[in-house]
Amino acid sequence: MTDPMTSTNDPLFFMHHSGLDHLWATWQEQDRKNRLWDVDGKVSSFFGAIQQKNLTLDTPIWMGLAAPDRPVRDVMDIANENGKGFLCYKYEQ
Amino acid sequence: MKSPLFDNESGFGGNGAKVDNPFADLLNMPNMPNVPKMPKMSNMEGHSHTHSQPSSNVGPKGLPNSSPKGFPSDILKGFTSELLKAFPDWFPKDFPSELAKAFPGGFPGGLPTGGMPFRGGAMFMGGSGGGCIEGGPFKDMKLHIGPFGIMKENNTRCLRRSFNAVMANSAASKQVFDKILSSKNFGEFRQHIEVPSFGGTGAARTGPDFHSLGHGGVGGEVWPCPK
Repeated sequence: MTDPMTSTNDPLFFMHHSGLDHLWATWQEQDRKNRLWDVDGKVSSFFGAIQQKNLTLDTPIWMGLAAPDRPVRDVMDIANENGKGFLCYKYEQ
Repeated sequence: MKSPLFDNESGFGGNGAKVDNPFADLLNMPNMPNVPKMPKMSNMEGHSHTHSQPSSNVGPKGLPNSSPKGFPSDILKGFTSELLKAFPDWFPKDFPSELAKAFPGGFPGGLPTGGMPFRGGAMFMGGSGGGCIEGGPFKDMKLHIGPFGIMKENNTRCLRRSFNAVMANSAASKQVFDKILSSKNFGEFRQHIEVPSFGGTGAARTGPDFHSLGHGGVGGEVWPCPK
């Protein structure tokens, strides 16, 4: 699962990334008020091509051939409490 | 110019997922990487192609029109209804049982120390040796695109794994989780997850980031360094 061209073909890819997402959601829930909308860093690709543009909640997430772009703010709250996003799931504790 | 990979009628050319394609401009972009013709690409590989694009397209030339697009597509880590609609064949029906077989000790609470259902024994940084998947619903699963940096046309081969217990175990521990969860802000959290050598990821604190440790822990097909 070490090749970016083929790593997504391994079903383990989705478990791995769900694990990262779970970690993020858990971290947010520890201090939801301050962390739910907290983003930081530069817009980047993976593997090092860092751009100089700051990432914000308005930065579009490029979904390639899979789906239309979404701004980062749409995926910050997996429970979508304000109804403006589109995710709707939770992790069992 | 028609994309060799995708059109609105026949989807990814293989098994017929039909999704509205909002990326007609991107498909025609001049700096499209050298993607070979892939007449029989599966939906799963369509996703793989999408996954590979941010790393391929954000090169010296940058993205078309200097658009802010380029944030990793995999930041969207939830299973959204849109993605499932686009790629209905991602998950075989018996996927959970296969996962349980692959990780009898559970995941990610820690990898089992023995009885892993793959070939090979020695656990060095190069992985266990691994090989094609020998059983279950993904037995002898085939890949057609890639590998990265080579990109031969219709390069059919099996999906390989080569588990690297050193890397996997350095990521999957409570100490590492606690360290990451103690991040004071997202900037710090993100560096634990995505920035190599940020520190704090257990035994590999001078090595790969947490995200990379998962990929390297499973091992298998290796990403050659691009020139």
